[in-house]
Amino acid sequence: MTAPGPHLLAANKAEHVEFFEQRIRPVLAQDCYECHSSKGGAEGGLVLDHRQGLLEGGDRGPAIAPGKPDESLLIQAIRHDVEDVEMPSAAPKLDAAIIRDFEQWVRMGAPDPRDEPPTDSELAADTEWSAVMERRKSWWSFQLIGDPSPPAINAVNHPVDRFIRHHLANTRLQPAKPAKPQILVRRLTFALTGLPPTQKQLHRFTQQHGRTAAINQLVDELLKSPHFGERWARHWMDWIRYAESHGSEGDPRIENAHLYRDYLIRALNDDIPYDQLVREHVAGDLLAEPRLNQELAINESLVGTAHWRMVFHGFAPTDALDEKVRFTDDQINVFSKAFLGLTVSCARCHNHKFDAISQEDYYALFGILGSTRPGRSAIDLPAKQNANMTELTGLKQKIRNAIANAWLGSADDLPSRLLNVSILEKNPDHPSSPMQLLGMVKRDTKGSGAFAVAWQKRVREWGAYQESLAAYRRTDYPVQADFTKWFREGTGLPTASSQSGEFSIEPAGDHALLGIFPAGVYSHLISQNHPARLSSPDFRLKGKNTLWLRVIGGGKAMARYVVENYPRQGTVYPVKELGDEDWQWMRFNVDYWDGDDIHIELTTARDAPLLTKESDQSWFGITDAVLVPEGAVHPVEPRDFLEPIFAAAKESPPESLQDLEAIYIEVLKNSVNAWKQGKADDGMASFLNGCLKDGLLPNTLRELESVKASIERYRELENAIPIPTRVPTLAEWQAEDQPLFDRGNHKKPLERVSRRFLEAIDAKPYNTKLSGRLELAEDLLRHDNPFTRRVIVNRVWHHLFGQGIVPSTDNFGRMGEKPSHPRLLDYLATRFVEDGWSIKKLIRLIVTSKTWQQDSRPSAAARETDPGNSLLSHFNIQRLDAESIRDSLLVAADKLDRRLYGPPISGRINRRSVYVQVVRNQLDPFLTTFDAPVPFSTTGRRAVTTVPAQSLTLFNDPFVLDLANKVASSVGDKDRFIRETWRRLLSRDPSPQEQTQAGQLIDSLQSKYTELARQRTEIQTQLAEERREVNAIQDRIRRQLVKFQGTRNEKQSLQLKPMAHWDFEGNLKDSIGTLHAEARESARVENGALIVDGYGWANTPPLPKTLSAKTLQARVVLNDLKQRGGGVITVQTLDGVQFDSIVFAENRPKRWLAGSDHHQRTQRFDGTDELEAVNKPVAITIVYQDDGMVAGYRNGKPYGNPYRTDRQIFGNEKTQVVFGIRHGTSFRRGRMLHGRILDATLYDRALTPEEVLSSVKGNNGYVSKAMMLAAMTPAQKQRLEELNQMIRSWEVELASLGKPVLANQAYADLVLSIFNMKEFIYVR
Amino acid sequence: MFADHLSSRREWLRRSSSGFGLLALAGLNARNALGAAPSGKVKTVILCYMSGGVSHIDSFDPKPKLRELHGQPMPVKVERTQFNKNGNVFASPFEFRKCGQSGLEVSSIFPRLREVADELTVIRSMTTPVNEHAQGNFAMHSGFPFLGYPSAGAWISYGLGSANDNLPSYVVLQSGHAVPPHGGVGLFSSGFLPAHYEASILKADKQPAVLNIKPAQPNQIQTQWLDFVRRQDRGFSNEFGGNQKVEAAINNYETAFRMQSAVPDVCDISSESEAMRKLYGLDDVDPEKAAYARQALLARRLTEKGVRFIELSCLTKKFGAGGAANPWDQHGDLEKGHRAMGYQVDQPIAGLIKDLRARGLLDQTLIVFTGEFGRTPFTQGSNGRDHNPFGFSVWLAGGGVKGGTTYGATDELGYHAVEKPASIYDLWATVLHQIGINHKALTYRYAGRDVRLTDVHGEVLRDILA
Repeated sequence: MTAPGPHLLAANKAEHVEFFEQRIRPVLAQDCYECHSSKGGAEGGLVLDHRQGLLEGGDRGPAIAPGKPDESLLIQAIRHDVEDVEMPSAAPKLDAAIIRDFEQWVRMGAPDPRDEPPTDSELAADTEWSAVMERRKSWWSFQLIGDPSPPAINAVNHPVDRFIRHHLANTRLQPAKPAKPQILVRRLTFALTGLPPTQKQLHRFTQQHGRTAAINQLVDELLKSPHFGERWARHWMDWIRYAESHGSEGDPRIENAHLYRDYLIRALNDDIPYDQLVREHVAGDLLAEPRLNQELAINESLVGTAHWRMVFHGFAPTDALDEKVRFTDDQINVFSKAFLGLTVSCARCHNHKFDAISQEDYYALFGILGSTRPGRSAIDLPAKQNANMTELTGLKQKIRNAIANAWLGSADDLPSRLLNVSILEKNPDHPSSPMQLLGMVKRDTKGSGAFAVAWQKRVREWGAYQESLAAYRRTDYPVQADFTKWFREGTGLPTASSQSGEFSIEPAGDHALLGIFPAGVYSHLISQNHPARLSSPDFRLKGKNTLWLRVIGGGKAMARYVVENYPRQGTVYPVKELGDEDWQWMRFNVDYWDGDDIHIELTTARDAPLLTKESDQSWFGITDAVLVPEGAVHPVEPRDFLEPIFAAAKESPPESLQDLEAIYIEVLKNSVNAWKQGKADDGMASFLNGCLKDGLLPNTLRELESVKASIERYRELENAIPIPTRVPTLAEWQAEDQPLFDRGNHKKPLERVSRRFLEAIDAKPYNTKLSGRLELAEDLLRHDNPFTRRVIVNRVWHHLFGQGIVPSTDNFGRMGEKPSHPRLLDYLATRFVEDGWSIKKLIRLIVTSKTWQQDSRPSAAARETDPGNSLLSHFNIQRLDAESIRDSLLVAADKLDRRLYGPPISGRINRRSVYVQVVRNQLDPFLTTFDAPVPFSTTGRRAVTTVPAQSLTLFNDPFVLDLANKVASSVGDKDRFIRETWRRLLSRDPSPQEQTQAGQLIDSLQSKYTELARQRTEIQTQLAEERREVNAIQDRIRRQLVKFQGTRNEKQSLQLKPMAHWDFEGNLKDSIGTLHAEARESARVENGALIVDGYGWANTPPLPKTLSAKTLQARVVLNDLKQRGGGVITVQTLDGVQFDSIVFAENRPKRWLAGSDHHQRTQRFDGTDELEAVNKPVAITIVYQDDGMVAGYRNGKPYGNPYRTDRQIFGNEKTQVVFGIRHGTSFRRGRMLHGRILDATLYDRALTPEEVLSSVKGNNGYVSKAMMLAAMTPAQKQRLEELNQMIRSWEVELASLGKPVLANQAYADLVLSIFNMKEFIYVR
Repeated sequence: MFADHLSSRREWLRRSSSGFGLLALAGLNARNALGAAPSGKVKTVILCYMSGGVSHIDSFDPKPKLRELHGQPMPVKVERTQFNKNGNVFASPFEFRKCGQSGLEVSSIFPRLREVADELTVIRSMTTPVNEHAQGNFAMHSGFPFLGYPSAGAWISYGLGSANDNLPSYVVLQSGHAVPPHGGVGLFSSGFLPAHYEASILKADKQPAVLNIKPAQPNQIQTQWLDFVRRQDRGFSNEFGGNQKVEAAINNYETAFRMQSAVPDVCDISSESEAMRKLYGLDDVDPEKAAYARQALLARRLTEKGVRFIELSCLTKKFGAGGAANPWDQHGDLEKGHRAMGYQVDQPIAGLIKDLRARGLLDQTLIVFTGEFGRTPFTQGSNGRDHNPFGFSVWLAGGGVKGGTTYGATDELGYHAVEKPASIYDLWATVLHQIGINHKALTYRYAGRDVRLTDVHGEVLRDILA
């Protein structure tokens, strides 16, 4: 051991030791021991928990040189003087005051009474959480909010200005001058509404005398504008990571998330106090006096809770608890950042590294949220949800009586009904309805005779059934439904379960009753319009189990089991729809989820927490649910509908069929009577229900004449019940404290932590049977919680100045930044509450300050000494956010649709950006490019980035270009256009210089465009010439070849006397008659063929005669065989509606077809796939006979099978021929042919098969490229090559000249340049 | 009280997340912050992402034991699977062979990769915390199984800085009908890092290759009005004393303007020789393979241009459950599906390795081949395999890794990693190490802490380094 140096000996004086104890030891314990202690690990070989450790140091040598701070490595490390040794590691730099303490301490000689490494208990005392927390609570944001009064400054009245000037006065910085009016008006409208000023606002503001009055008036106007809410709702949406889908595989939508967005817009426009909105966000579903919106007839408070549901959800996780922990963490993380400015989520695995937040705090909040489930609630006012309830309930009783009477009155018909009813389907062995039993006995009696045998068989069977039922009832299952403990949501579910014999009325149709039910829970006893969600408590699965639910339902109601609250459907998360079927035991094998907590959930179609279904009328019922372990007795399909029969038969056993029938009649009467009096038991109810289904009881409105009027009235009232509007929310259920997870590992639960608020503020457990959200909401708002108020006023300040008083808006902890003006922050927080938590008043207060209205140009001194402008010696120039950029573009083009609210829209729709959909896996590219946040966590301060994609968007995006064109759509006088555009887009007049330069730009662009057009024409002329020469060469060769082969056998076909013939030799003329065609769009004749490339076609004038029988023929080469639906030659009415056509591959790929209007005359030829027409021409002929026979031919041979169909007559002068398009008079994608038509012929008669063959005999005059190339001389080849090369280079040149432009293109370009100017996307 | 937060201009710049990548490197040491590329060998990382999950036991991790037990029930506990349709032991239908000098074993679905086996380092003990595609994809890309964190590509371009101002530093290639894996484009996000580091999706065979990259106007028109804009903006900026952000935004159009021609240039492969097309399989009759080959070839061209991170996207052959977003996901028809997918990527990737080697670029390029998880050694249904996150294979090639070696091992069934289990964090820590960055130092302050690609984990797998 080294001997203590003289410094040390001299140093250990009492006051020095006290200095160490007070100033040094706590810091070492809190910030250093974790890595540098004898117990906790000695990183770098260094321990700092006793004197010797410091002196000996670690791998880098001694940590201190007593007396010499500058030479002490420890001091260098905490000063961040040495690269890679910046301490504390991965933490903020220590406060300057602390560093000074350490320097002083070393200068004193580093007095240190710690002779030995600490014992465990000593170390624990130094690092104990309560001590650490107390120290950490000294951080500024944990201090109570003071009530500072604004410093007095001469001639400065506004409190904000007095705080700001007070700080400025300590520097040599001067406040900037007031901003110019046109700058201020733009600043104001963007800050308050996110939109540029209107021309009216601009004019009025800049003309008005009296700056203050003008500002006040404009501020009032903007605060009243409905666009205010849109702007500030979007900020709020950033705070709570607003999203409309859950992400991950499938990315399911959060249905009606947008109602929350609309809620925010309304709330902000109505200036609902912030404390109220906080309550609504946390516990809006639980408030004793929710905020009701009479106009919309909704419960606003409830909508506020929807943000809890905007979490990310994985797809079908195999570890469901992990998923629950993750999405609950998501909720805690966003909630604590958004409202408290604290990163509570950092304390999931251990106490917070830097802040006074313990791991227990985290699990206290986890317990609150874990005591809720994903839910969905109707937001309609109770009166609306309960519409007509009393009347319907009364009427229902009346209907029960009337129907029972009608049934009793028709009891005389029963014998004949019994005879008529035939219910012996599929020869069953077991009865599934009351009448089937009778049917089986009848059947068995018919055969071998004796009734007694047949009946005894059924009695034995009944006995066996009773035994298995008893076995089931005797069994003690781990879970068996006790509906009194289940959770019911929605008007459809009354608080108490239904007694036996409850029934429901068919909402429409011929039948009166939907059913009569045994005791259970039903959602539709009054109406299927009523929402309902029924769920069981959680239970933990152990071993292998099957879950059985005895359910009924319809209208897409759903049943499922829910694992660890996971709300999505997936491979191992089945959801079963309740079809309109009878009762069933629905089974789920849940072996997979051994060890997890699950619950049962039944919902109507629109009331599932996440995956809802489209069905306004929906219902379910359940009588039983049971968890059956492997090997245990499982439930039996109930036959309670037979109970009354066997009970009566026991009393007086039937000896004949007649006896049995008499029993039926007796039992039926008794049951109806009992039902009428509300005394039917389950057996009777099921029996009646069975009789209803079997047709034994009259159930049509026709048969129930006396009840008809009541039923109709019932339906009228029921139909008047509005379909509720639902929002995603949280559901309360069983409150439970959460076990703390050891180091965050959800597989290692430790002690439970009481639900409560952060212990730094109040560690008292909540005394509640519910989750504790109500208490949590109040704790957020309590006076000794300094966070909520500071955080919100700072957020508002941030959005107005582009920089918060606390720049790290979402983190007020030690890793955040400190306030630049702490007293101002507290003043605003206090004033905010005094002003009734009014956000609008806060905004007005701030924007009416001189500070906010300063010019944004920094002085040289400010640039030098305060580059971040913390002191606000001037205003901050700010780039517009993504939404305002997009909205400004729309305003510029006068295309903004200013309607409020509604479902999400695509970014290409001209509405405000706040309405653009926020779908996690498909975020809007425009908004994302300009830094709209990814909905992941709280974003109080958006990044403002500069990326090339932004410029590329503003250069080239069709959305932007289109809007630029729209601005320039009407141009009068150039100078005026420039002036007006400047005003409209930049809210100011152009300077004379700008006016001139903009004019020069337009002129210069215009002359450039003229020049480009000239060049284009020149090149096109050149191109045409070269193409002509190419054609000429090729034509010559082709003709030679044809002549040489001597087989272009036109004469032969002409002998067949066609009506018209087109050989496309250089033109589109009809070589027989007058049907000379005309090329449309890109169609052209080249090399003896009509070229159609998918865009062009050709048509003839009207036919001079009526066509009945006809033949269409053409030779064609296709560009490809993948194309679909193009027409080669078509006869059509002049409007292009009725037609007959040779069509390629319309309803089946690669097949030729006789196309006709709406396939009226079309059937399949079922010919072979076309495989050749790309390589060589094929001749297709379709012959239409007078008797409706249609026959196809390919290369003269029959193509598939002819068929008979209707005949179409094409009228004289009302008919034309078209080529290259299936039918029609203008371009339609999907009807166009891609290929070359070599020739075409129209006959006004049906050719015979022989004629068809002869018409295409011989060579068809087609010459392939290869043939042509082979026949060329070397000189021709060379010339052709040269020409083609020139053509290609001309084409490249042509492309570089751009497309032909609009007349006003130069003006549109000026607009585009303004869109690209920084002035357009910045406010100053 | 102002002294400590206004201490220096540098301090202020450190805090502002303004999109200045170099200034935002709060956690990196000053050497890197000055802009010089770090001293690592590797300049470019190429991620061959096998979306859907490649079966390791059918590709790089032979398990003879499965042959022995084929058709029998699994002899060990079967963990939860995503489809819960578990069958019996399923031996690989493919033959394995020892290849090259090293004798590294590669299955018959990768005949061309066998030719470069001596370049591959197979990590046979990879693990992932999640069992589902989207979360698995997020985990593999960003270290966290959900949206919002920066992708490795973003971290790496943030760490390396840009070597070519005219091209994005992080590129995701797609061709044919390829789409992003499940999770969507958020997989390629810069998260909370400045947007500058976000991936640009580049369509290898389509126009425009990058959204809005195709100039709407002739060059001379665009330059003319851009000159006007620049003059205006210069004046605007001067008013504010040359506000740094405004200045950066002005400079930004230069970059954008140049990108308009740089991107088409790099995508234009007309100058590539016939031999190159053959090497990569660019003219293969299988259209998906041809499309993938085009990505591989472009990857090399982008590497030459100094792009930092390039990800290639597979194309579906529609086998099993393998859709557009997860082509390797053979819950059924594993044999056909893996054969077809192997055929698609084998030659292009092998071609890329050979080409880089021939050009002397392989040392400075690190190729990473991985899916989001492996597949079960037992069947799903009759002939598929379910997801297996407990142990699977990924490989690295080039960039200072040993080559011809394996690291770690799964059990004899290929079910769990048992020897030197590796995490995604270890994989990225290793990749970062090879580009010369200590993964613990590559941090970004977000939400109150200095966040890393490797969270609070990650060990460099030194055993595989040359």
